[in-house]
Amino acid sequence: MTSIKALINSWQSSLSIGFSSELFIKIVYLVLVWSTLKLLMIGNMVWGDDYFILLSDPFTGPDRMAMLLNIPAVRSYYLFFAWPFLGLIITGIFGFHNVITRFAVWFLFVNLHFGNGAVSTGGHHLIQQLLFFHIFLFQVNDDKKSYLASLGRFLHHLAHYSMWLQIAILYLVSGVWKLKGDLWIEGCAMYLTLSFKEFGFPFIAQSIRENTVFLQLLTWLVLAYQVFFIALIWIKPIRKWVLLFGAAFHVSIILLIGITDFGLFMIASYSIFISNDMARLILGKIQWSRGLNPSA
Amino acid sequence: MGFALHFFSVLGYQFGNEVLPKKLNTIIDRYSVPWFYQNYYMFAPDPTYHINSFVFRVETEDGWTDWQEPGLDQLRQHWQNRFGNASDLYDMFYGLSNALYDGIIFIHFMEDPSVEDWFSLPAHNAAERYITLNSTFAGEGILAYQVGVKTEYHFFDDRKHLKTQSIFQKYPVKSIKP
Repeated sequence: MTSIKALINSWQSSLSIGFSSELFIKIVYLVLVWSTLKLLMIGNMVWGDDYFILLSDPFTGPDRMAMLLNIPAVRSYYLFFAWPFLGLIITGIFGFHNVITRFAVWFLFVNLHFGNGAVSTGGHHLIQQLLFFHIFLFQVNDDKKSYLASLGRFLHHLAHYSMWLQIAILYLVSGVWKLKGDLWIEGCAMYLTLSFKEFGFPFIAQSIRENTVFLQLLTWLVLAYQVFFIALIWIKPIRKWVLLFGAAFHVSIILLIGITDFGLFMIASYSIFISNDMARLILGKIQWSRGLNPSA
Repeated sequence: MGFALHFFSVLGYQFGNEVLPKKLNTIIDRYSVPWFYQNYYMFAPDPTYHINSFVFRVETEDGWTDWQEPGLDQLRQHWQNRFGNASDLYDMFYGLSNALYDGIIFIHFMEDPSVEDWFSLPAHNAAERYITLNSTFAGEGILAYQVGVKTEYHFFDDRKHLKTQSIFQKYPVKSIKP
């Protein structure tokens, strides 16, 4: 109880993860710039009038605000969503963001994401949640001593570690649901997945004639990683190795299975786990930091 | 407190359906959807056993074209460049093919379906939008078109080796003569 009290006090008095959060914002925004630009090139089909996806507009009231691009009449104006979003994340990369811009980024992302469910991945769903938490990443210098400053620092810590938990929940949900099936436990899931040219390359699909020990081990390793991530990530001595394994796994998803958005979003989200000292070093080297301003 | 309630809802939404009271599940659903809706069933509980592909052909003054598979063109581009938007276009075709596949099942459950029943399916309308607005034949005097779904089904034999089966299902021809 005393240690919890001490933790809560320290979260209010000092922002010990400010650089880490700032680096996370830059990296996630950078991946979002890539993702948004490539979709903008085919924007009229993705979000605009030339759509050939099935739109879904079941909500009323404020909830409808999340699905605006599912209203055919609104789709003509998709650039009013895409351009401000792009502008806000590009300026955000250079450190120009506050609680209002971060809220706008989240709101616009929700609409752009739900505006085309066909191109959505688990990574999009995760980023949507992380962008919600990033609203609360108030950058409040330690020398500010007011009640509001303490609250800002406290909320920052809470949001920061909520992102850790959110990433862990993604893996837990995916892992537990896999345990409810047969193929992951039997070690056949990778074999089946790679047998489709759509989840790899034709030469892989054609060359895999039977389930190998390697594919079985890979299947079980991925399953174990997803189920145990939520526990392993809090153990500091092994955290680096856990994340390195995860990053290698996601790079292989990009190169082998070809789900690039998901892989890049996951790797970008890992940046929240970079220590504050390391983040300070990286930000110092790229010189993109505005510093930790006493703004929102 | 707010953050704790939020995560209770997140976990409740994912796992609570069978363990939490129905009333609580309703509240959690109301809170979670749409703003905090999250889908993490990636390849779970099992990876898919079948993949659908959207195909179509059109009739112009020159007669009927061959069957076109626009998703395959995008897939080929995606194999060459993992970082472009070909995968997004492929995903849209994939979504369309799944909706068309579901439409066929829906129609098969109908008693004596008419041609209009086929054409009124949202997936068929979406396919028509693609063919008439975006395909290479858009604006080239399409007289009629037909859509279909190719399904590649993978299954395990007794020795746990994968076997493949393919099915090709077609929708009726729709005339759009002016």
